[in-house]
Amino acid sequence: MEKENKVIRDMVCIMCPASCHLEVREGAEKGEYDIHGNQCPGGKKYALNEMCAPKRIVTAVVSSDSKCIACIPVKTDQSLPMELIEPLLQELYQMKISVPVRSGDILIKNYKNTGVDIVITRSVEK
Amino acid sequence: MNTLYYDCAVIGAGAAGLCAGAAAAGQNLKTIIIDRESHPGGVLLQCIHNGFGLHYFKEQLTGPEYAEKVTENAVKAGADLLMDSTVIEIKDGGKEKILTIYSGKDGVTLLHAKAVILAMGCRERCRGNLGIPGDRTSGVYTAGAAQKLLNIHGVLPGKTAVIAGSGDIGLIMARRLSWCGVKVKMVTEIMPFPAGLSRNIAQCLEDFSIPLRLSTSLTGIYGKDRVEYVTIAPVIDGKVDHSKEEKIFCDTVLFSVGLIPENELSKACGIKMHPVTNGPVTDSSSMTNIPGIFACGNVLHVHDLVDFVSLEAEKAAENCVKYVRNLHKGKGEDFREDIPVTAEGALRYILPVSCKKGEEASFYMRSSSVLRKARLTVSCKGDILAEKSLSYVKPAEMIAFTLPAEKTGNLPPGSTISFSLIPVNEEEKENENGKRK
Ligand SMILES: Cc1cc2nc3c(=O)[nH]c(=O)nc-3n(C[C@H](O)[C@H](O)[C@H](O)COP(=O)(O)OP(=O)(O)OC[C@H]3O[C@@H](n4cnc5c(N)ncnc54)[C@H](O)[C@@H]3O)c2cc1C
Ligand code: SF4
Repeated sequence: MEKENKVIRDMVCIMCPASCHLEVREGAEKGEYDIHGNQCPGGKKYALNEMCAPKRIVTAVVSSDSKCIACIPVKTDQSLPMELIEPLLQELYQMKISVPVRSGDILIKNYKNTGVDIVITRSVEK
Repeated sequence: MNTLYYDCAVIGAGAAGLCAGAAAAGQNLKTIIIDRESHPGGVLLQCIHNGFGLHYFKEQLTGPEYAEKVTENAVKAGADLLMDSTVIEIKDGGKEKILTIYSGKDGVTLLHAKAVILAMGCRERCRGNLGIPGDRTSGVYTAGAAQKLLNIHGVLPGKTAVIAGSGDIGLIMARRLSWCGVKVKMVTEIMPFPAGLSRNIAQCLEDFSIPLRLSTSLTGIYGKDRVEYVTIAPVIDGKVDHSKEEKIFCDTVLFSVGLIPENELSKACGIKMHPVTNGPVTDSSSMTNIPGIFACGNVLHVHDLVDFVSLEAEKAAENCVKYVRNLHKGKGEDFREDIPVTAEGALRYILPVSCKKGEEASFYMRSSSVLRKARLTVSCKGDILAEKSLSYVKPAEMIAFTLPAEKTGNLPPGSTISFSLIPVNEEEKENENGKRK
C-alpha cells in the first residue's frame, strides 16, 4: 500500500448536517493538499478553502420600520471571506429597512466587490 | 361561542404542523392549523441562521425562509390557518374529537374534528429544572428565550455571557452573541461529550475561540440585582468536585440544557407517554394510543433537523387521511398485526415502538453514547433482517432507518423486532481484514 502523508489538520465539514470529519494531508506537490473523509465534493472544496481563505455564510437581523416586527433577518447568499464579516455586520447594524419587503429581496448588491449579495430572508407586509 | 367542523385539526403551526396540514389538505381533508402565535413558523422564525432544508428542499435555507416555504405549501394546499388562538383542551369523543380553543378576538371556540394531529413542539429546560443554587438575579435566560429576544425583538440580552450546556441552541447563540459584540466567556457541558452537532461546535465556538469546558458543571449564579459571576466545577466520575470551584465573571447566563416535548394537552386527554422521549408513544402510523390522534415533530420527540420533522409530519398526515377515509367507509382500524419494536445496546430509544407486518416503516432513534464506528442491527429472534454501518454516532444526532416491507412480511405471529447498536472495535476489524488478505 502506498504510504500516506502525515495529517496536518483535522476539521469538521460545516457544509451540511452530515458533519463529516475531514483529514487534511500534504499532497504530492508542495502547497497541495489531499482531503480524506468527505462524503461529497463539497467537503473537499470546504477543506481547501479552509486551508487558504476561510469563508462563512453570515446571518443577522436589521432593524425595520414595520409596526409588527422589530427586525428583519438577512443572510449572505454565499460564503463571505471571514475578514469581511465584522465590517459587514457593522454596516448592517446601522441600516433600517422600510417595509414591505419580500424574502429574497436584495438589500446590498455585490458587497465590497466579492460578488456576495445580502438578501432578506423574511417577507414582511407592514 | 363559535363552533367549527373539520376533518383534521392540527395543533401548532411550526414546521411539523404546517407540513402535516399541507399533506392532509392536499388529500382533500378539510384541514385547520391552529397556533397561539401571530405568525406561522414556530421556532423556525427565530432561527435566522442557515442550515435548514438540505434534505427536504434540496437547498440551504435559513429558518424564516423554511417557514415561509412550508406556510405557502399549507395555504396552497387549502389548509385554513387560525392564528392567535390557543388550544386549551382536547376531548376524545371516539369518532369525533372536540378541541376547546381560546383567542383574544373570538373568545372560546369549540372545534369538532374527526382526527387531530399534535404538533405543539417543545419547550426548554430552565434553571429551575436543574436546581442551580445562588441568587435570584436578572440576566438568566434559556438560550431560546435569548434567541427570540435578539432575533425577533432586536434586544441584546447582556454584555458578557456564560452558556451552560452545549445544546445546539446554545452553540448557535454563542456565535450570534459574538457577532453582536457580546463576549461569550465559555460554554460548559456536564457530560464528557458535547450535546450539539459537530458542525455547530466548529462554526460557532472554534471560529470565535470560545472554550468548551466538557465534564464541567455550573454550580451557582450570584449577583445583587444582575448576574455578577457564576461558579463552575469539574465533574469527576459523575460527581461535582466543589473543592476545585472557579469564579467566572459575567452579566448573563444562558441555559441550553435540553428540550421537553410540550404535552400538557396530550396528557390531560389520556395519551400515553414514552418514559425516555417525554412525548407520546406512537405506532408506525404515528398514531397515539387514542385512535384518531396522531403526533409529529418536536412534540413527539426532540429533533435536531427540521427536514426529519417535515418528513415525519407528512407521514403522520398520510395516516391521518387513511384513518378519516376508513371512518367514512365505516371501516374500523387497521387489523394487520402490530409487531413490537425494542431498542437495545447503545440505543437510548426508538420510535415508533411498533410496526405493521409487511408494511414499510421509518424509524428514528438516538444513541446513548458517542461511538466512532458502530453497527446497527435489526433482528428478530436471532435472525438478522437488516444491518447498517455507522460512523461518528452521537446522542446529539438522530439516526433514521427505513425497514422495507418485505423484511417483516413473513415474520411469524408473536415476533418482536429488536434494533441494536453495537460499537465496532476498529483494531479488531483491521486485524480481520489483515487475516483475510
Ligand atoms: C434554536 C434551534 C436551532 C435549530 N437549528 C436547526 C438547524 O440548523 N437545522 C435544522 O434542520 N433544524 C434545526 N432545529 C430543529 C428544527 O428547527 C425544529 O426541530 C423544528 O422547527 C420543530 O418544529 P415543530 O413544528 O415540531 O415545533 P415548533 O416550531 O416549536 O412549533 C410548535 C408550534 O405549536 C404552537 N403551540 C404549542 N402549543 C399550542 C397550543 N396549546 N395551542 C396553539 N398552539 C400551540 C407553538 O406556538 C408553536 O408555534 C433547530 C431548533 C432550534 C430550537
Ligand atoms: S463532506 Fe459533503 S456530506 Fe460531508 S459534511 Fe461536507 S458537504 Fe456534507
